Amino acid sequence: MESDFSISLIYNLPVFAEGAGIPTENVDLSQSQIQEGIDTIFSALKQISNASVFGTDGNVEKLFSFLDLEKPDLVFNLCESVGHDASKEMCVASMYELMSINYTGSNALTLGTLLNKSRVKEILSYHKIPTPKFFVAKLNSKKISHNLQFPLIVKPLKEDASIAIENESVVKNQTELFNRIKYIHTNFNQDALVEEFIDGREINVAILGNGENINVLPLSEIEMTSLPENFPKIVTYNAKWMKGTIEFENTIRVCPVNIEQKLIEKIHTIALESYEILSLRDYARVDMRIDKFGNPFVLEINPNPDLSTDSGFVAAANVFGLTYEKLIESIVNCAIEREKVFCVN
Amino acid sequence: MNSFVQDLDVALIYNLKPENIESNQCDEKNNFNNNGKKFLAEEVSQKKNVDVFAEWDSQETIDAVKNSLSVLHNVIPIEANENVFSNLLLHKPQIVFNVSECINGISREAQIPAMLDFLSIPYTGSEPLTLATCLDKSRTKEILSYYKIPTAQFCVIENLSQIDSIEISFPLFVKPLHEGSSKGIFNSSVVKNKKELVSVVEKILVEYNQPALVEKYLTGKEFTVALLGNGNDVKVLPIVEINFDSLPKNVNPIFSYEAKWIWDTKESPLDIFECPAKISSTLKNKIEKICLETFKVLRCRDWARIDIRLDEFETPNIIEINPLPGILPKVEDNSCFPKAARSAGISYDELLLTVLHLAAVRNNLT
Repeated sequence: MESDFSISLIYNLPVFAEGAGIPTENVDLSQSQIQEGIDTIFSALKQISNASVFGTDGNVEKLFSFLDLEKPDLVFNLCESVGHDASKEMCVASMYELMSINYTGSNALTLGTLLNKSRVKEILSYHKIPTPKFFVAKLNSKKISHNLQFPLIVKPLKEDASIAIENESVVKNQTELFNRIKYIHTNFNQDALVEEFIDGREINVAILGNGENINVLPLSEIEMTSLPENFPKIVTYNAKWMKGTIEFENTIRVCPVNIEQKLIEKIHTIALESYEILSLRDYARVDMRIDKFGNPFVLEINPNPDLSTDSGFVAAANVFGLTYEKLIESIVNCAIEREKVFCVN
Repeated sequence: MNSFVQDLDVALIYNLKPENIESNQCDEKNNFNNNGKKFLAEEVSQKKNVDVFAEWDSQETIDAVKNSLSVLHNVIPIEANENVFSNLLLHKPQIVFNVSECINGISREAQIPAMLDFLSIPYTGSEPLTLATCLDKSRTKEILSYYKIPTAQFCVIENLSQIDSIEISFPLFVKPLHEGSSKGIFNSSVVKNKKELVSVVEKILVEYNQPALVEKYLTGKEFTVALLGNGNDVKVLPIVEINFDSLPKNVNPIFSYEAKWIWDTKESPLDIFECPAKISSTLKNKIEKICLETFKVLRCRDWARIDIRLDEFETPNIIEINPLPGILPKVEDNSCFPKAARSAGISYDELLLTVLHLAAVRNNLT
């Protein structure tokens, strides 16, 4: 990379930074914690390039003027939402494309597709990638009919970062299911995704690279054996973000994992196939669960996994032998290299 | 027209086809003699495809759309160029009539809608995800297949070495993965053997700089279907049949770039469309049913045109979905959506006002 190569780190300002008027219980902490990582990434980028940084609050005019002024060779894209609207994630990427600016991570279509959990499952199912059976409970639907086996897990269709994943998300009967769907409809004003709950080990697969130069980083597992008996074995919002809660303290990330070689290979194959099928770029995390027969299922795919220093992705990179700085540089290089790729053979 | 929403400040956002590139200015020597030759990326970037602006609109179309909308609204045309953003801020329209297709990448049709979403300005037609998805023909086919909506067996070829792994039998139909408006579909797109396949795939990889979609070639009739509406109130306009008998002799019965832009001229229009299609009511019902399902599954809004082809069992298959359908104004332009509307007794003005009305109602601008 030339020393005058310019990279703009673009991220979304946390919602609460917009000012008063937002009740604290609606504040999405997962976004605010991401900001802690911004400085670290920015320092890493400064070491390898002429770096600038911009936090967008959804004012696209400011974003445009920034990009127009900087004219970066590359955007390091950390925009996961704008304002409180995660569906704008693909809109930001579309703006980079409109301005012909290359950016790290997946393209607008993939970002938009992955935010829609049922769409992802439709595509994976088409390619016979195992994913739990599901249906979508539409906002305006009155009847809930399905042929899935309880227990089930209920999620909002279009959120990430474990938003609205709580102990009550796992339901054991039709009444609990009905109540939880109603909760999602009422509080999140969106469709609910209902899936068969796979009670088993939870494995995160970090992937780095493109095409021939792709690496599956060492697997991580979220150990939940110390959770109280009556808690479902899931990574709730609390477990992910709220230090001090029972869930946070008893869901422990382990990397590398103790797992038999045959299963590792199965997991690698499924993760890489999913990555390719969904046209992911540069880096991503595939979350899986292993059922009691040892079959992995893809739960979710995150095209821009958390890159803060204590994140799972970074831990996996460390075990792989990449320092934090090297990881950021690798992502940058992936984005630059794929722009050059063009081959007929 | 009393039932339409009226007096809105409407911005018409469009891409203007450059004047010096006429659709019939096809230099066959430059575009059909590349068989077997490999190009470097640099050579490719300098090369202009014959159909690079095929999706963009002429001044005539833009004027016609503006005039139609002006019957009931205040219309400001805004070109989707580098000033589009400042023009939107300047004019602050209540709603946008979007016909912009832009140019960069698979999300090109989603870019103006994405910008409008940021600015919270409502617009006609589908959301960015639907627009981008429909430009990815394999993604669209995966989704349709999941819902068991018939679509031809297919695979995606990203490099020539993958050709040997194709498990679909000849003849095959080969097109660029991410184009619309019959771009990259020529008479030569139907291939009968490996040699032809390699040559067409290579042309797509090199000249269009994108993967090739290889499909089983469907041998039956072809139709295009215009849909108007939202939610449970979507109307299917009279079905248009592509009459391949009107094509020159000895060419493949497909709706190619040549058929759409070269052999069909204003001076001597091809008699290529039959609307309403003369088909049995059973087939009509089948086609309408899968079009409505497709519209719903892909979450189209306001309008879309869906291309259909019958397989050897007369089963309608979805070929592609156009959430930004072409709307050339004149009868002799042979544009399918306006043609279907005319056949249903809906004038060009009424058609465009309906689309705007649907978007306005969807956004509570009434």
